[in-house]
Amino acid sequence: MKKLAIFLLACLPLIAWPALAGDHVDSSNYVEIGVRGSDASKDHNQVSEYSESSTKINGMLKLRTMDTKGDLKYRLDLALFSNEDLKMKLVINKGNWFTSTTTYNKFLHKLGHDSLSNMSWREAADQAGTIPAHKELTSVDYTPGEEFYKTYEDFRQVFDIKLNTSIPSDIQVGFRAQARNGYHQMMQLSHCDTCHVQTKGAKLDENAYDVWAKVHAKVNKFDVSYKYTYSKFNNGADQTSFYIDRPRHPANGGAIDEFASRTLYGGEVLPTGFNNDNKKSTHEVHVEGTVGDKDRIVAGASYSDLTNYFTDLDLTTSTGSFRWSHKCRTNLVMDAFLSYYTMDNDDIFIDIPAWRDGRPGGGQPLSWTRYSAYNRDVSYVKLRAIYKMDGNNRFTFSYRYKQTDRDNTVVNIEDGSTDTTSSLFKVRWDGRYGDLRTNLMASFESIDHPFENALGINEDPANAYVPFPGNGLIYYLQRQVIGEASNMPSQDMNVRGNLSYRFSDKASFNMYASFRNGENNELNTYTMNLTGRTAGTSLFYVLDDKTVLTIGYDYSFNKQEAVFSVPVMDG
Amino acid sequence: MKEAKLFLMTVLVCAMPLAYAGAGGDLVGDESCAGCHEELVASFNKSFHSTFFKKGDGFKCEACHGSGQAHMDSEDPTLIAGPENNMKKLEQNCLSCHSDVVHGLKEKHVMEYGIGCTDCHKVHQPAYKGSLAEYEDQLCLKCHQDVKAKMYLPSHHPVKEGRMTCVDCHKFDGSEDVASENTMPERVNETCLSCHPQYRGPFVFEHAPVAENCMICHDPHGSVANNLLKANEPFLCLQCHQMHFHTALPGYEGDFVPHNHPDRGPFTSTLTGSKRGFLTKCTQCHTRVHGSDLPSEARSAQGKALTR
Repeated sequence: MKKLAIFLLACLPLIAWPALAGDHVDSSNYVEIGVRGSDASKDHNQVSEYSESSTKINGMLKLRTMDTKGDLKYRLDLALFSNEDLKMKLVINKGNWFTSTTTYNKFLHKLGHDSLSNMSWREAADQAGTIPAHKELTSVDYTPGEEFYKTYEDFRQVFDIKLNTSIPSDIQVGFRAQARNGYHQMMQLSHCDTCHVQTKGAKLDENAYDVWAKVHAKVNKFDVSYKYTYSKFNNGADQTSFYIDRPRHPANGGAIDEFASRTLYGGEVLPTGFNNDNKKSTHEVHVEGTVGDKDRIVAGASYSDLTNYFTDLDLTTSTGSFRWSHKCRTNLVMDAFLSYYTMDNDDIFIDIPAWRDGRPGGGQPLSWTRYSAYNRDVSYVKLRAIYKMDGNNRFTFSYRYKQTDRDNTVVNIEDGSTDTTSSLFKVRWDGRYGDLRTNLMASFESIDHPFENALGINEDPANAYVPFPGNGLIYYLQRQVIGEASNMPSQDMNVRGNLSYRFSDKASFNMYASFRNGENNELNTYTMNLTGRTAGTSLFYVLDDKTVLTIGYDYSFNKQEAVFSVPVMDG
Repeated sequence: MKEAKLFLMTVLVCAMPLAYAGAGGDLVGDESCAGCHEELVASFNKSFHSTFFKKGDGFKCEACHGSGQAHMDSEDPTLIAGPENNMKKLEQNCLSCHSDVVHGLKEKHVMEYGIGCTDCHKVHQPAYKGSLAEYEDQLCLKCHQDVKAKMYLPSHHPVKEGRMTCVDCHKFDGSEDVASENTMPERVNETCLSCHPQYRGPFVFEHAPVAENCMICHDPHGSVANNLLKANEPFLCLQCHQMHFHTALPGYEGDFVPHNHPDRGPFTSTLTGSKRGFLTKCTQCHTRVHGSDLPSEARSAQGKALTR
């Protein structure tokens, strides 16, 4: 029955087309009126995201039109499927000095629903599972079956105005508004009674606004521009709250003081995950131009300041970059690129009550200062040579050295270093033989201590399991977590090739393949390996203005080898 | 000295017509072109360039293709700038009007890959199609087939649905590729956060890879796992973290009602229930993986477990 429904749905637009759809095409106008149907089986384990998750038919209107009256021109693109699914772009030109570009995009993004059905467990005191013990894991879904979604809206208005000044100059003023509205799933863990996860739907009402102004002038042979952007994120939804269970022993409800001395809160309704408002201002300066006949420079600098309204935390970023290109010969260009940026985020003191405060053997301080993982200085140097052997072949060779000096994130536990350095070598061949385009690229990157979790996994079985300082009762094996873990390679090799051939204006053929092999042998725990292979081919044939036949095959294989560390709890 | 300058100027003025003839030659006009290329001339008259800009007679075949005199006389296709012959010359003619189109001069496709104007732009098609050879969401993917294949994976940005285009992330303004070090913005993350500003923070409780690079966990072109994750949970998390310490505990076989919450049951436990519970999806409890301003519950985690 379902297959029949799918078949009928597939046929419906074709059957209904002559009656329902009219279309009109001339050189400057295009109108398409029709229907769009879909049938999909719903699978809650995998979000269908942007495609329909139910069987239905929508109307459809596509419109492209343009006209010119004197020196006033407009062009309109519109695609309308429903009030939740539409796209529009309107460009208006006046002479060659004014352009207005308006875009609006709205679509539905379906979100998943997790029923938390895997959270149902009680500890057993024996390996056979016959004697119930204390620890429990439970869950509740307060909005079962609810479908979660958000509609995303993006509106942009940009004005470009050429100024009638002695120095050629122009200004750009822009505004962008984004909105995410809908319902999404919120979850909250409560775990110093029975381990309990609650979930319910919550309203989503997030908005972001960007305004910017850019001034550009051509001074002699240099294009100089300055741009200021102010961006604000505003969360208009009410905070979602959950009741956090009162800390107590899960099996008998006792030991209230003991459990309370191990937690920060409980027995109260508290707000949960909320993206707080933030604002960001950015200044950018850009200079580029030619020096003599053979040299070209591009330089830029920027400064940005990001603030979290709720916490007043402030993140500043400064960047600078410079590129110099030199045409050594008509067929050889060499360039050098230098870039540097630094990020500085506020530190914050986290005031936390002492561990088991007021309890026998307790009182160990837990307050700490959060030094930010953002804080870093990053610099690059890249050298590139582009050699055009003849009209059909060109080769590119490049070398890049990059240094990342983090302030606080350790990436080498042996010496406590926070630095990563890398060298990347790349060679590429591009061929252009009439209607044949082909390229082949090979690269190798050696990375000295890439990003990792230095205290990621438990790795020190030789050490005695020492109890928490000052407390002989409780052993925390997490304290022995000194094993490095990462999914980032320290050596990374890539080979990639692509070939496309255009038989005619109506037919083309494409094939590609890539191979990747990487490993990280700098961890103190294991050697991480990753392998990737992709390949594919496709053939296009344009039957007419509206019909394109495509046949293709894609293959992808990715594999990563790592260890799973299973700590044993004894606490 | 004065005589020398006068002589030089005279020579230059006399040589100008010769230079013009050598560079451009005589114009033959559209009607002559249409004698052999009727369809092409007709199609240009309906094109975006012709319709939208309406420059009149000065904006016809030879404005782009150069003088047609020699080509018409000998019928030699190599004597005119066309896509089959003298393509570079044809593309240089594009830049005579589009000198401010910076991507034609500096960006990676042109500089490094040798891609020309006509690889992406088509001038002789109907005006409503614009000047791109394909619609924006298809143009790039025609060459970048590996990326296109990823767009068909279950989780992807809505490019194939026509809700995003490649240039929303990958700049064509001369600053090369978004993921390249030649970009002027601070980092790759800045591109992601321009549409996902809710994750900008800066948060009190951080997750270090979020500060490092979004692409440690996400593949923006598409993935099998939800939310563009490079691997499904818990495997992605376990690449950097150990399993939860409750995972190894045995489970009781049978139903149970929580002692402190008789209203919440009954629940069913199995021998492997702890694995299902603690090793299915880490973000069921650690919901705030992008960072949080609120502390987690247990004091021992010092508030930084990203559960609230």
